[in-house]
Amino acid sequence: MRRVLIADDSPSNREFLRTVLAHEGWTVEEAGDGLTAVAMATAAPPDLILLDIQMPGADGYETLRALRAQAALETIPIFAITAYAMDGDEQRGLAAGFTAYLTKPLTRRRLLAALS
Amino acid sequence: MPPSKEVALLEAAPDAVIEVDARGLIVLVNQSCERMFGYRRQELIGQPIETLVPVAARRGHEHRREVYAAKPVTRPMGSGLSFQALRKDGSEFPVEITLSPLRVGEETHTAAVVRDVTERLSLLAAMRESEAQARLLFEESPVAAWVEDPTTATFLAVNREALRALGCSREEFLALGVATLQPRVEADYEIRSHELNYQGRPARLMVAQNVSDQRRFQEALEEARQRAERASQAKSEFLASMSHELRSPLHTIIGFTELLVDELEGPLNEKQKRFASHIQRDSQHLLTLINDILDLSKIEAGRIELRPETFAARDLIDEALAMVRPQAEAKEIALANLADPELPVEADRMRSKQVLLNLLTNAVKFTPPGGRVYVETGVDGGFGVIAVLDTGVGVPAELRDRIFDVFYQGPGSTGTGLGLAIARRLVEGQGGSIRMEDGPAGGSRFVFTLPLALAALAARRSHPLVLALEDDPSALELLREYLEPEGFALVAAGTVRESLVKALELQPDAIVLDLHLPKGSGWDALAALKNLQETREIPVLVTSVAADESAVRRGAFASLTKPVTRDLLLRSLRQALLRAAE
Repeated sequence: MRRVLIADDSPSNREFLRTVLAHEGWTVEEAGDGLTAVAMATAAPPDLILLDIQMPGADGYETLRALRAQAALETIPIFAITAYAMDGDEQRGLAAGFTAYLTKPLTRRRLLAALS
Repeated sequence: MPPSKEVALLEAAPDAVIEVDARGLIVLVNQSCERMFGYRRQELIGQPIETLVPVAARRGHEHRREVYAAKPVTRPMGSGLSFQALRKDGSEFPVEITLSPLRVGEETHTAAVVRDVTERLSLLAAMRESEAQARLLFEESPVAAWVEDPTTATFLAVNREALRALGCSREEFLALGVATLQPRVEADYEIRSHELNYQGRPARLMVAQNVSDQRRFQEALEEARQRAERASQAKSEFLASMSHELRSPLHTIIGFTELLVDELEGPLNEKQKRFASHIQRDSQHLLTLINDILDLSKIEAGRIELRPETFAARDLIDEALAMVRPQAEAKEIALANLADPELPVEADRMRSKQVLLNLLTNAVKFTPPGGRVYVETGVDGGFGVIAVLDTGVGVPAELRDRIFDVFYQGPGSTGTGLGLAIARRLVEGQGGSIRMEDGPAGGSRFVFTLPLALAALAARRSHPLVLALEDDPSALELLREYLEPEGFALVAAGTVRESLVKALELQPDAIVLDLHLPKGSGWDALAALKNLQETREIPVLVTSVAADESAVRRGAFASLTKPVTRDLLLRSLRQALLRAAE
């Protein structure tokens, strides 16, 4: 079973992502903030991580750095799922090390397209 | 026999030397005397010395001679005064005279050494004049200035402006020390120092320019710049956070609605399905609206960066047509790209595509099923023209000005009312224009222009480029009607100057020139074109109301009488091109 870790402080967005991915056969784990996500990913590295950018405590970029700093998480796909969609935001995200940068509003179709 | 040493010295003296006896008769003169007065010495010997004195001064001179005879010592005559002397030719000149008594036997003679001071006096006069000018300039200069003695740190002179600026009298100023002045002026003045000699001593001329206004202005400018930057920064931040805050809830709405519509968690009944699709449609509309408003705000805030590049308009049209093809096919609307394959424009590609896509989307939306939407291109002056035509409902004339306004929505429209407003700003931001007119077969014709990539146009044209110097729009329109269907590209210039610039820049294959321009004569243009090496070889066809073969003598390829028929124009142009190619 493929495992995905979702870090987002919005319960409704976690539910949306959980629903879509569970239907695709993923085992979904959830964290409400970045630090929890780092702890969970360190304990058991998942196959995919979806990170919100704006989160309390460590934001998506800090969380990404903490995750990428670990050898086991260096190369796994980490997606940004974010409402930051101004000019230059995506380039910044990709430059920071996100595998993909998906802007909200995100539809099921766009997410699935990004996963394939 | 060589002359004695005394005689040799006498003859070599640059001054005139004259020996006069006690009766005032000349006994001896030297060479310089002969030269100075224009007499040969034989003419002077034995003559009274007053021969060499102007008539009016002779009596006075005799008197001076008597005074001297009473007390003959070596001294300058008249204590350094200059006298006028008289030449043989009657002209007078200034001299300085030194007298010495000479003992000759029992008699006392007088030796007069006479120096011509014409040159010295005129030098002196010139110096005084230039000194007076310098003093006047110094005194009346609108810039504050003074002279300092660097050794004593005191002031030697000061001008009126310095006194006015400091509000003190000349005496008060001159009593100040250099050290006291410094702090009083350095805030408001920029001071330059020049070394010079003043009254024989090394001194410094100080020139103080009042820069307080300039400094205040610069400070104000800098402050305004910073304020504008802060405001702009704040606006950008506001836009970014507004975008973020609107997208987040919209994401929840759109995402979950899709899950419902897709019946991911179980089937919905028909009514529920319909409700969900209503939400879906309007949340999508809301998203478009938010994107458009953000776009517009960015443009208005000047936060949008246009990056011009050169590309073929036709490629852009192909791409945009591909994007509306699904909607067009759903309505069985035929799409066509009738663009000139050789029309390079220089514009922001992405933003130009956004404009074109907006026009195409509108055209497909407002064209009834089975209709036609097509894109054609042209050239207008330095601009490429892209026109989107449809067989739709058109826009009533009275609404045409308003359709480009923010939030204007035509009857039955379902858009955001921002698309054309954004399109207009994007086009105008690139120097172009956008307008709407009637299509040839009903429907609408939306036209926008983008700057032509002139260099690219000149480099890889397969269509002969004709430059027309013509300031009458209707005559130009006619030329266009004649030439463009025949595969010529037409570029227009309204003035002689513009035509020369474009001829140099574009190196057209031929030039059509109206000889009777209101501003500047077409003759000037012809002469200049034939005069410049870079344009000399370009064939020029002149048009004028009366047949005028002299144009041909002046280098024109042909002279055509107005009204020029289409056939004649095309035939002449083709001949010109053939000739040029040979």
